[in-house]
Amino acid sequence: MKIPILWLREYLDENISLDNIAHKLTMAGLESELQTIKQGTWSGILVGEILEIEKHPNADRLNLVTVDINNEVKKVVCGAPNVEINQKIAFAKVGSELLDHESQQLVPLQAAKIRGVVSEGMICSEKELGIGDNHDGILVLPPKVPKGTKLESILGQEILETEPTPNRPDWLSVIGVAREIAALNNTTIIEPSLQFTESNEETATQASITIEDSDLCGRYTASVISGIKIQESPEWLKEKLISAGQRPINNIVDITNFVMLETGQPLHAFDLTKIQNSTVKIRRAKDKEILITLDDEKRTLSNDMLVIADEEKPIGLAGIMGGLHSEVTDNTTTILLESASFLPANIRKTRTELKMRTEASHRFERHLNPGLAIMGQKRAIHLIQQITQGSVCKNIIDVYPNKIATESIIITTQKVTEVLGTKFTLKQMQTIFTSLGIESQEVNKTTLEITPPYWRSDINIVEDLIEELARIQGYEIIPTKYISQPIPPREEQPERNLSLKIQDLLVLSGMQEIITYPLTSKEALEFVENKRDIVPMKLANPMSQKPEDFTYSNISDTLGFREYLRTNLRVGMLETIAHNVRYGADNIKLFEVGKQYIPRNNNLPEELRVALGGFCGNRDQLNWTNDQEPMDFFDAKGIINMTFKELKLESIFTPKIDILFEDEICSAIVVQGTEVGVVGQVKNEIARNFGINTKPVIIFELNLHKLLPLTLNTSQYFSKLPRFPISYRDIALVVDNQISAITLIKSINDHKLVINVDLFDEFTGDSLPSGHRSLAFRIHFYDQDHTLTSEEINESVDKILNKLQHTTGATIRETR
Amino acid sequence: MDNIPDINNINETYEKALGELKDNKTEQDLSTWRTKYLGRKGILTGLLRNLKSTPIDSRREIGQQLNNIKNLLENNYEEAINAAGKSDNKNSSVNHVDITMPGRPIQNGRLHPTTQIIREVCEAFLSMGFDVAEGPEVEWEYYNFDALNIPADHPARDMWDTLWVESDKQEKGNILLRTHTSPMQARIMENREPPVRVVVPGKVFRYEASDATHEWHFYQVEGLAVDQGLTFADLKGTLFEFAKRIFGENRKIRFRCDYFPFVEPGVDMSIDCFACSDSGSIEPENCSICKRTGWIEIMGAGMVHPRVLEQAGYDPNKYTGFAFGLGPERIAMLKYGIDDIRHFYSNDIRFLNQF
Repeated sequence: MKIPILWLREYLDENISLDNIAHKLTMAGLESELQTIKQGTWSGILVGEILEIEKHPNADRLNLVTVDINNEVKKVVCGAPNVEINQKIAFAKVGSELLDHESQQLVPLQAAKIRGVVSEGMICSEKELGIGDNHDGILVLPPKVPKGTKLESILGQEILETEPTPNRPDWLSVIGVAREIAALNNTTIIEPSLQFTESNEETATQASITIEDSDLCGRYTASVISGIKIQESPEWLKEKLISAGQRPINNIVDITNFVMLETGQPLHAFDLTKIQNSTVKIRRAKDKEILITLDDEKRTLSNDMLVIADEEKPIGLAGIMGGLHSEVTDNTTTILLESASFLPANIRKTRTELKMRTEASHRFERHLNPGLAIMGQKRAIHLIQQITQGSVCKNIIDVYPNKIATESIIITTQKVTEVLGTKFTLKQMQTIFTSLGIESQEVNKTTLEITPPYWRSDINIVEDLIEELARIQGYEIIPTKYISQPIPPREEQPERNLSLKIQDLLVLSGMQEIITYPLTSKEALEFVENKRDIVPMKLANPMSQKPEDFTYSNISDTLGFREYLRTNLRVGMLETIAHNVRYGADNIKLFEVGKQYIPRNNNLPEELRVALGGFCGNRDQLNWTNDQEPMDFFDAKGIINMTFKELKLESIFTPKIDILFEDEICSAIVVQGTEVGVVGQVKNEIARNFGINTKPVIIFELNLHKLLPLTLNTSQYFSKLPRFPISYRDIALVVDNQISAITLIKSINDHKLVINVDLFDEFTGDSLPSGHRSLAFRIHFYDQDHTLTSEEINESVDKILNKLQHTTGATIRETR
Repeated sequence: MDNIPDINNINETYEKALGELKDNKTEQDLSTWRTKYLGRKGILTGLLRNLKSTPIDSRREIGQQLNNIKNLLENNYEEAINAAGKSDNKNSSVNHVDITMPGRPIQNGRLHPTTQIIREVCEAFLSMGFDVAEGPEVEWEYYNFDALNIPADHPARDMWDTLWVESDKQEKGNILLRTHTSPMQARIMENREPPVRVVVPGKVFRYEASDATHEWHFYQVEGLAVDQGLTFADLKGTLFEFAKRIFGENRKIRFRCDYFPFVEPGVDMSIDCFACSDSGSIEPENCSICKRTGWIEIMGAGMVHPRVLEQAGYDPNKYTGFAFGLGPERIAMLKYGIDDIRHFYSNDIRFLNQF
């Protein structure tokens, strides 16, 4: 909210310094920034008081004005028509910098002789100060501004830009902020006048008010003011509204707006003659009832909305906006002035449904205390009477069906210590409460009974009061200490631990972690995974919605519409690889550990954690020591092997069909009979759809929720180092392509003396029978009881070869 | 050479000899190699000489193998010496090595900067006796709002622009993408007996247009401590200690009053701006990092609101507690001078591999 400093000043003792005020308010909870809207430096421009006005001896239209700027008295020549004795004005001494409008430059003011009389300075207009266009007269300042003050420290063009928190509707008012400043200076504010005189006419004879739905309207006050002439507001009022960022309309509307900005209480003035039978009912709208609001919009209402109605029709949307029909116009002479209290939740609900947001609704939904309604009413009457000389009917109507007594709160010094960890004396507490306008009564030496004031709706429990003490005193007075209580018991987080472990292992294997958005398009999700009988969860209010008639040529065209919760991480990975390929990345090795969301009926989705790896491009960076070869399936498999080895699990790979992968280059990853993941080479067509046209893309997917139970049973034991030498033999086998390597390795491993087999070569070529390949193995032999003799080894090799030939048709190619 | 030949040391010798032969390129080196292995006092000759010491039953086989290897090595030597003869004799006896050539590249992996900061943050709190827990990213309205003293139609809900999931209203309200990690405060208290001391890292979402300082998807780390006798002073001590560990001993730390519905009193913790504080190079009046305030907000915190304790089944007359929440991306941005939060989840490798 914009709080003009000059306006704020009116409620503050003039001795209060506003130096650093934005900082002080910010520390106390109201984030503020002081903004100065002015041109030039105003150096040397001070507040002066006009002591004397004489005619200029040589010019009829000019005056000789004596100005007191506190410690000095100056005589200047002034031609302004509006100069008057005792005015406070902006006085520029000789040498002050003023804005020259033609050159837009700052020009120092010269001493001048005007028609034979020396002028020792100048009384400034708005235009000369660069704060407005008015050059018809001098700028007149509020009477309370102390003379000698630097103009820049008081002029309303200094604005406190505040960001009130939702619990403090009182900060949505100038007085509310003034109260805060007063409290921080350990004093109280100067209250504005609520005085007015009443006529003999009874308000109740002029209008009748009935609250039909008192659950939604706690209090309704109304006054009737007649004999009003609608016209422009006086200058001071217009200026205040403008400085606070509001547009002046007419005197009555301006006063209601002014009072809202000043006190925080929204008001509304109806033209009484437009109210059918002068009868006002506060009731729920009928279903589909129509109201044209002030902004000329036709609103269709529902019966959970509250309206102000006359006998026939709604005349206003309670707490949000008045109706067009009953608005104050130039012909209005009698008004019904409303100042009421509405149920905050209902105001918010209504304005949300109608997609409206007004200054009034903004305040009402933050819970205004009913006590504020009558204060706002009186303040507005005071101003209307002062400005329009209208006649106010006596005995304001005040319908207050469920008057709730403000509950008092007990606060003890002990409780304060328990929460803050520091001591306040009862006296300190009282001082702070008093400065905030909070009444406190001493119950005993350590206890106060507190009654929250009418403008505060946020003080309900003792902790609220404790915050008041801490923030006014300043949080810096609270000591810092380490928790001395014993450390509470821990709860194991196995899933998180597994995630961390896998992240670490994948990093160790040279992969870069990514984090992708969990929202994506349904088309993309379905494009990359086998059809399942689930539909991804959809956002009710996505930030970008796919048009119904949207068509696309590539799946990547749909990725801008993030409407669905991902059921896989594949889309994010392909999107990321595509992004990086586009920027010229070559050896891409990425992984993500994240959640996929599997819908459940009438429940939160199941959040299943997945580790996804993606590879694309050359294995190594371009370098003289290596060949540039694209990564393939076995790069991914190697990392999976390493990962599982570190997890102390044995994984096996079996062929699998998955829509994402080439049929021949896709494998399930199986651990202890459970399929825990899949790895494969992405189909070219799919990669292309994401915009990857260069090198093969390899992806692996590990389902951590399936892996987790398996990792919990693993254990690790030390195995003794070999006591005898390990021997090896190399053999090259020629086998049919249909025989898988793992079959051969398993078969070799079955031999009791074999402790390890390395597959070190694969060879295909014309020298081999067609449909065959040669695989070379190094077989390591060991016995824990003795050093193996070459006979034993040769015998073992023979046995192994025999068995292989028998079961797989493998024949020996060569030995070394 | 007193080695008794057996099938293993024969093979080893063979491998070793072959390996060394490959490293020798000049005729002179090759000749030295020949003397070492095949010469009169050479290793292989020595093994052959000791053949008589091997067990009788395997002597024949070992002998065959030794001769076999000797022949192979002779052949290899011949090939090597021929090759050396043909090569350019101007080469010096030592191969030229240009040590300024780049080393063999090692491609190392990295954690995402957000993960790095989260780990750093958790580590700091773990050492102060906090446990780490995680919770659902798709959440009930109840835990995200109501359980945290933010009832429906309360204006405080505006503080969290929410992405809602299409769902029928259930007992715990509608389904949404959690807007903060704070729902875990309620969930933890529902599931654990006091005392508790937990930090919760995780993803959160906001209905928000992205710009340099706003993302609709980001992370938070939530903290909660509830026990008998915890005070604001403990909150201050814990967070000051944390800030020192993350930002260094010399950072100034500031607590100011702020409002969050689930704490009372509420706190905003800031550190002094490193861009424009006395050590920095920017004038405070022009500093865009701290928006000319000299302070950078890094955390929201406060004493747990009694209603939140009560609703989760803790007795607010017996227990007090504090809670806090921070954004790891923001910390990373401050630490590394990252000027745009959108870098984090666009996953450009040129960004990621800087951290």
